[in-house]
Amino acid sequence: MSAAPAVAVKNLELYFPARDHGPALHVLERVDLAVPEGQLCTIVGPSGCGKSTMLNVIAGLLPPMGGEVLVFGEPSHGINRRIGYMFQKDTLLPWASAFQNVRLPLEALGRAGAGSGDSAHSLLQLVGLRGFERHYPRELSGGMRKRVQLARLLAQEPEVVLMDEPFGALDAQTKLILQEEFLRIWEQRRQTVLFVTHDLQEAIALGDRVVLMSARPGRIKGDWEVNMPRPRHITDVIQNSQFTQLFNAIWGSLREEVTLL
Amino acid sequence: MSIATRDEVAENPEVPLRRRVAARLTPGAEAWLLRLVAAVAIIGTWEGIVRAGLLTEFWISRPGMVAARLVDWLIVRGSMWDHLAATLQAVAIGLSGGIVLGIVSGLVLAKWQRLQVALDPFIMGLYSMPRAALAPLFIMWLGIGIESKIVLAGFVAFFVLLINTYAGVKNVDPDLLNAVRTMGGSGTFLVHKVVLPSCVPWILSGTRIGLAFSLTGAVFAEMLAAQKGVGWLISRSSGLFDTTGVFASILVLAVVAMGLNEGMKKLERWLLRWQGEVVL
Repeated sequence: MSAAPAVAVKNLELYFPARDHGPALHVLERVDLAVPEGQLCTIVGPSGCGKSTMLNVIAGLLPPMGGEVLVFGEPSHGINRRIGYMFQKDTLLPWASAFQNVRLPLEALGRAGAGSGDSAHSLLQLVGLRGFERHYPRELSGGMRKRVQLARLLAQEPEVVLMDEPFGALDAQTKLILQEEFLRIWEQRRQTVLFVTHDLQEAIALGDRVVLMSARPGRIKGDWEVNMPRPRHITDVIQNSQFTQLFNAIWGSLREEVTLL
Repeated sequence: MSIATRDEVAENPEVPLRRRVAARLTPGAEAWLLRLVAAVAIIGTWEGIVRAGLLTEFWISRPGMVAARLVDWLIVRGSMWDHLAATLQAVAIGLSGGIVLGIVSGLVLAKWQRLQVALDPFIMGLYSMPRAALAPLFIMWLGIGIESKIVLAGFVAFFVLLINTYAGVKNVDPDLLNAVRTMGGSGTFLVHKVVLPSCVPWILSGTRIGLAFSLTGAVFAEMLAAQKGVGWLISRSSGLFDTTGVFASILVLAVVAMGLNEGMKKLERWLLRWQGEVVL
């Protein structure tokens, strides 16, 4: 038998409780997904389809009402230290410097002993923030704060990385630069990544595989492999003929789910 | 037409003197000059009212007499220092106790929701009422010494700290908590790294309000029954119809309160430097 996938969800079901006697909201319906180790799997879908909710379930922040989450073949309940999570929102501690923020996961796991200072420093250097160790988050630009969050994520040394629209709130240029940086770093490390985005171009350009979720209740509607060679550069990828084909195919399926509200 | 620099305005003899002076001043210096003008105006009016015979010295004293009394109390005889020390001692001990107990109680109520639900009306009742009304009770129980002043000063500050700490815990950003949770941080780690630091601004603003309350509480209790303290001095002076003594004591209190408030602002600015410029 081949090795168990790094992350698998089986028959995931989730409802959000009714508000003011309304019907309960069916958020996830029989979601099945297996992500093999080392794969960068991107997940697209219309807004409100439950993409982020699925990440929250995998991270252990929300218990599923049906089905299960398996991490390397073992059932996972609650917070799992092998999983790192980069939220859509800025979740840096505002009262801690960039350096202290990057060191936080090491302290949380009790690994903040000798050598941790070096690794926090080298991680900040890796994301291009050498010299900004003592800066507070408010003194950094939006792009720089994302870089600190990326360094903090890596400090945890997760085997599985969940990313919820990490570059969603950035301007176009900063987004492009951070996507390039992210690819450069990921292509060296090759962790398993579940990357949620509403940007189809980003999903195809970064991913080994694009998974499409339907409008609520969220189900897996489509699954495409992206065979473009690595290392990739965003600018080259966009001109690749496979990129255009995939974009048209996935968009054809995605636009059926997007309703004008 | 070109725009003149401050220097050009200041040196141009054709510009009216008032505008030339204004151009020479930095905004900070200008503010202090304006305040000086206001002070001279207030003191002048006060002195003028007495000299014009509109009110006698018996009712409102006179700036010169108040100044002479301050020199006597602060320098010549120096008797004010004993009273001030007594008042500040009550405030320091009472406020410290109130802060510590207030923070701990706020954290306890935020942690045990049932307890909060049970005690909420009692806390709000004590918080909303004029707490100085409890002063006679504390004097009855603890006597006219410093103990009753300490307890009242602490009691009035306690509720502000309790309510602010509670609000601070309830306003912790849940996304920050989740982020640190997913790092594998324990409950204690979360409290230490997320909950307490995000309460700090709340606790500091509670402390600044609590400081003003404590000072009021201590002075009020001294006015009711005491053997020394600035409050006692005010009450004794008024009993002797010594308006000058009352004004001199009040001035000392005002200056001390302003100084303490400024000190707190500086401390806040330093502790909250991660927030950048804060309007206080």
